[in-house]
Amino acid sequence: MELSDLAILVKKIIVGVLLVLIPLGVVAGALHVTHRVLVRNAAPK
Amino acid sequence: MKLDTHVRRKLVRNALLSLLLYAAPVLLMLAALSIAGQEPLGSVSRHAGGLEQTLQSFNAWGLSVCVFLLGAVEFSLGLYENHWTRNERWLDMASFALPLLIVKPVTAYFGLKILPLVLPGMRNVFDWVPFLWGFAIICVADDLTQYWYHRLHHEIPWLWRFHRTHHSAPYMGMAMSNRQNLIYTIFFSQIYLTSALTYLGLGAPAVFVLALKSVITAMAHSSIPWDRPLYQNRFLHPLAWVLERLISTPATHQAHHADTTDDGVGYYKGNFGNMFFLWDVIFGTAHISRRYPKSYGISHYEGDEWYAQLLWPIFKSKVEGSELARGGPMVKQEIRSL
Repeated sequence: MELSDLAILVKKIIVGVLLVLIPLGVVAGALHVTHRVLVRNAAPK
Repeated sequence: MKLDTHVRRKLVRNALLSLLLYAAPVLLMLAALSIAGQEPLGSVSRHAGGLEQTLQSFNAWGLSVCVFLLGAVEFSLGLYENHWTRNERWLDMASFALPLLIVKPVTAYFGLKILPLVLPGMRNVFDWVPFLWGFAIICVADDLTQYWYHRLHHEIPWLWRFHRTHHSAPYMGMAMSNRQNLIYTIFFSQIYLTSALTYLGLGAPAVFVLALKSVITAMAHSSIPWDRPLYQNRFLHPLAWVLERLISTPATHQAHHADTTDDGVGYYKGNFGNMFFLWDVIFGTAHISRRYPKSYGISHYEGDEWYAQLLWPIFKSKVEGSELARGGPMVKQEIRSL
């Protein structure tokens, strides 16, 4: 494996990791906010 | 090789829209639960019934058995014609076996060991999500991520060679449905995303989504055109219209595997959807012709050695001028996406 191949492999792994972190951040963030809103709405006023 | 400006702009636009799509099922759930006046309950999505265990077994080994049996039917019907040479057979069989031996243990280690270290104290924090909403969330998160993973490997030139192996097969069918470069398979983003969401409490819906997705993607790769009656019978056209826009079918996915786009049937520059074809419709990468390509694969494919296709860039092809050869082109011009 040449150095240029290694560079491509590293870039590919970075793309792969971003494709995990970005959706996970959006979904988990949205779920976290949803939970807080639902708990707040259910609390006795 | 630089990315075309038009392609780059479209990628950015579509990526921004995707952020909204990822959040959409959660926002819809929030609206529905707010209207119903429901508060988040504990551990609802973890109890989906006995079917969950059956589907877990299906995902673990049942699917592989089904793919093997369907492949045997395809082979006995002569659907691989004379294309399934010794080199292709070795590649297909190695691609079938190695994920079971390597990728599954890697992802299990990720879920059981790495996630508790990276996200301590977050196990099952979202297990209050109702099952059906969890199902919708995982459907979008998993399949939209795979859509992007797939699309980027077509549209970003330096990623293409990791995905080329899947397209080099000059036939469709179960034999090539798992055919991938091992590095492409190991770094499948949606596997790790769904693992993380499982750890966070959406395990039961994930089992159902993965089972459904496995069936749809396997059937879309099948050389048996099970969707043909939907196009032939005009009473079924409304159903066909919905189905071909919603999920991947042999007609749309085989078009993606065609070796040409010149005939108005093949379209390897789009139709990237795996379970849902809807992403292609939304992002403008869809091509629906209700016909099947005459030939599959890559027009300039000359049978690169199976081990080079499986493990590029660790092993290189000896085929001169091949994209997988030492010093070969990153993307041959005629297969470059626009």
